Amino acid sequence: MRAGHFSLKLPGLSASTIIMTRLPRILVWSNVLSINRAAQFRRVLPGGKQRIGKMINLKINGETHELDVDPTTPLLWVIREQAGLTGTKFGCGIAQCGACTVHLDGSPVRSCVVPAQAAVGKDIMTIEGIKPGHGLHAVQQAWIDEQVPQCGYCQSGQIMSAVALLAANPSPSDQDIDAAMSGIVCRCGTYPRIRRGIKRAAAAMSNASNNGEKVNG
Amino acid sequence: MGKWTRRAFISAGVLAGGVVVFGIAIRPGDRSDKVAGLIANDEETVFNVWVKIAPDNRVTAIIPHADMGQGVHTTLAMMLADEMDADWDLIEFMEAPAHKEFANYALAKGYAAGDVDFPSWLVDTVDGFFLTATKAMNLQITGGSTSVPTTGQVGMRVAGAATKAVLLQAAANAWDVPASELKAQKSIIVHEASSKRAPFAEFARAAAELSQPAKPSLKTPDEYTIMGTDVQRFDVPPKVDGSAKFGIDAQLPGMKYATVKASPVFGTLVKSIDNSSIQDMAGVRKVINLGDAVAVVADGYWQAKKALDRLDVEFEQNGNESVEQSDIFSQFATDMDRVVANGDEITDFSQGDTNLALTSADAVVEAEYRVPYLAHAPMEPMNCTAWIHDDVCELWTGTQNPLGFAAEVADTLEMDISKVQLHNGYLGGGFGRRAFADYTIQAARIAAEVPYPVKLIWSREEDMRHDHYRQASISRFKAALDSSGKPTAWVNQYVEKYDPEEAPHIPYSIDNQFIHYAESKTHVPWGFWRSVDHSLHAFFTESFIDEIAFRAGKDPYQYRHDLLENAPRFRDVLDLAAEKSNWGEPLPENWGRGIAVHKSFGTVVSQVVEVEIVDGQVFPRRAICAVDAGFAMHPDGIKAQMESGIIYGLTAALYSDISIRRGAVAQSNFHDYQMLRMDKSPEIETYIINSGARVGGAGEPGTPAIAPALVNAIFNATGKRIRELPVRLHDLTREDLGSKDVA
Repeated sequence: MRAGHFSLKLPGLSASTIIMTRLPRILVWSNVLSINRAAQFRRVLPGGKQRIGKMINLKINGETHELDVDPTTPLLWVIREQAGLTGTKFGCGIAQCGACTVHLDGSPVRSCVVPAQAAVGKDIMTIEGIKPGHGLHAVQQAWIDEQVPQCGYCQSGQIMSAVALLAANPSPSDQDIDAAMSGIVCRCGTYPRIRRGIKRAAAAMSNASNNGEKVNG
Repeated sequence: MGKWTRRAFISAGVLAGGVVVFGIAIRPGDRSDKVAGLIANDEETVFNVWVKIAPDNRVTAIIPHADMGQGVHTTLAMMLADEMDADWDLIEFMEAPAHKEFANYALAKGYAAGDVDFPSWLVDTVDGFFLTATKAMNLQITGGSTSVPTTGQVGMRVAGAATKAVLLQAAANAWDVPASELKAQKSIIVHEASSKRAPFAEFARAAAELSQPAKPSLKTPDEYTIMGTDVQRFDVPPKVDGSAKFGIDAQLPGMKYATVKASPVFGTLVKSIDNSSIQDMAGVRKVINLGDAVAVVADGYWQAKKALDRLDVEFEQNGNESVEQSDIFSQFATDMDRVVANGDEITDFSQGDTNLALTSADAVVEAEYRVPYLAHAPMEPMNCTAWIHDDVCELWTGTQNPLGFAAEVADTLEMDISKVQLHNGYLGGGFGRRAFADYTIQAARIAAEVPYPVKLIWSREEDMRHDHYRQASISRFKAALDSSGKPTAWVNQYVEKYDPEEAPHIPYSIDNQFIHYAESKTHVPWGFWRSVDHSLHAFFTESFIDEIAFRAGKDPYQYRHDLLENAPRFRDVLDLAAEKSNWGEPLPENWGRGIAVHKSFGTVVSQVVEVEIVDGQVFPRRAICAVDAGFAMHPDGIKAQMESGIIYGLTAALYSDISIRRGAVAQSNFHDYQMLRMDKSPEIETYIINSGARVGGAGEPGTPAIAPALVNAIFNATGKRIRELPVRLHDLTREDLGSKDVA
């Protein structure tokens, strides 16, 4: 990156002044790196390609991705932009809406606030990964049966949260559903159908289990 | 006919014309040739711009509307398939390309700007009702709950029936029998006398050569086989496995990412940008001054966002920097007082003599209500991917008006519209927001500065602070009651009118009425917000009628019922909602029940809400909804839209306010613009009436009545009358709120 690449050249404060005044805020966001350390990651790769961060390995849906990232980048953006898995959605960027929910070692997390570095060595599961080899996950089938989605944008987060809920609690009460699902906002108001979908999926998984069938759950 | 005003043109809801006019789908001249290359391959036969048939007998409905969750692709395909007597299992859909044969933006835009009148040949074609369809079809807009009432009723059904007619005629010609002896059954043409049967596809080519009837006869409801059933929506499977592609999901080789910051105070320009603070940041490509906003382009969104947050940008001042929300409400009140003092009221509706009735009244009831600005806050923040290459500007986004957006980009870049190609994805919520092209224009302008594709994503903060907002407003009422408590006069003054124009009108039989308004412009940009003006006026009018009922000592349901003697559709939905809610049955302590009824976009809705107040917090526990849309084309779809409208409306009523602080929007994200969540979502029951009235919309009519039903329920539970939204602003924890309502 050179200054000459900018389309504008404008006078102003010196870079060092700005960095000093803004440093505390940057540190809050990154938690991992100082600006000076971040700078050392900008190395030139063989072939002259500029490196933007460092190479990390992320295991997403069972597949290992070797990615060149600034390790402070939230996992959401690495999943979407670098791994190319766009089923996980950006909604708010501050863990308020849950559209970005993925599983880290089976637990639901808001990927918009988890630094990519924090996911190294863990199993990352996204909406694209919950489908079994054949057919649909019981939650996905229940979502179709109840015709849950409207615009559909939040549904990856809803489904990932519901899958995690049912894995931990095969027959959740309404209060359990409230506790597990109230972090995920649906602007279309599909909550009543989500509740029914969770109960339907729970029943399907329970029936399949009782009958000794393979459970897609 | 008279010149259509811009207000009427952009209005979202003056569609309830009263007459269904057929024949719009099949206009003179064969238009399908012009789009055949865009919508079909060589194997497929295109019949008109709405339908094509493949050799394997698949029928594709070509839908000129965006799906933002309302299921319109499915419902419109049902309407086409039913009139064709097609096999639903062989029906597919495609969203129409942004092409002028699916719309006529240039004509419409000229008309909207007052530059041109519609040419007489168009007016003559359909007696002026073309205009009704124009808003949905020629503008290619999805909004105003118009898709089913217009595109469906005068487009899809006519196209389906006309296609079936020529298919039967082609078979009749080949088999040498009268067409009247043929019928279609599940995409098969049948001649019972000779036991001849053939799939549609066999006669598709021959049929396409025949002239299609412009006004084919359409089915009556007793003949429907697909309309009125609960088919599964086309868009659900891809929305449960992450494969549905929204605008934000566009991916192109070599693509970079951009994010923007516009002046916090609306309408001011960038004064200076100091980029020295971000020169060392990895992956940052470019800083672009867009005049009223700054864009940073980087290798990823996060890098662009971090750089933009660090960038020093100074904006000009335009005099609005000191405006506070309280100033805006003061301005409204002053303007309202002034027009009354000067006799400058703008009349909305007037009948009888309200002054006389007030003078001779036994009692006069007055009240003033306020509502705040509201943001749309769809879950998918505004975004658009743009790529300018080979003299073409390609756009990937989610829009309620693809052709309009393409035209605005063409205007901005000074390109021919034929060189702008817009690819519309699923919309992660629209609610009116995605009818405004600002984000798409920004993306195109950024793309014009770089040699690669660029995906512009707004942060949630930008989305919240640069929306086009539902207006804030004040509404004042005065009613005269006679000795029996019956209203004899209804005077209503409010501030700022948009659309639809009938939104403040009431269905109640009150002899003397004067409804008027004052204009009072602010610097806050306005936009269509789910149900538009109905979203505020239903709160105003249905709160006030409740107050009158209380003053008259009457049950609020019975009081409404008695005043709806001349409005049977309203009375029927009101009665049904009351019945299903067990109106009048006692509720537990700290619970309350409220009712409201309102018509919008041709559909009448009545809702009853039951609330529980726990430690001052309002929990809507149950919502009962009765809806008459004339005929429910897709009953489960209508139920879903009622559920959606209720929760959208409850969110606004309970929590939402966009307030202006120092000229800018104070809120920024979901922590300070809160959403109704699972734990406070009520159980919802929806009951449908098929009255046979002209078919109305479904996407918006679920929203207006829920806010008044909610505050009426809170009043019933606590005795506290909430006259300013959102409810969150009011303290409901005190125990001395007042005596409980009689209801």
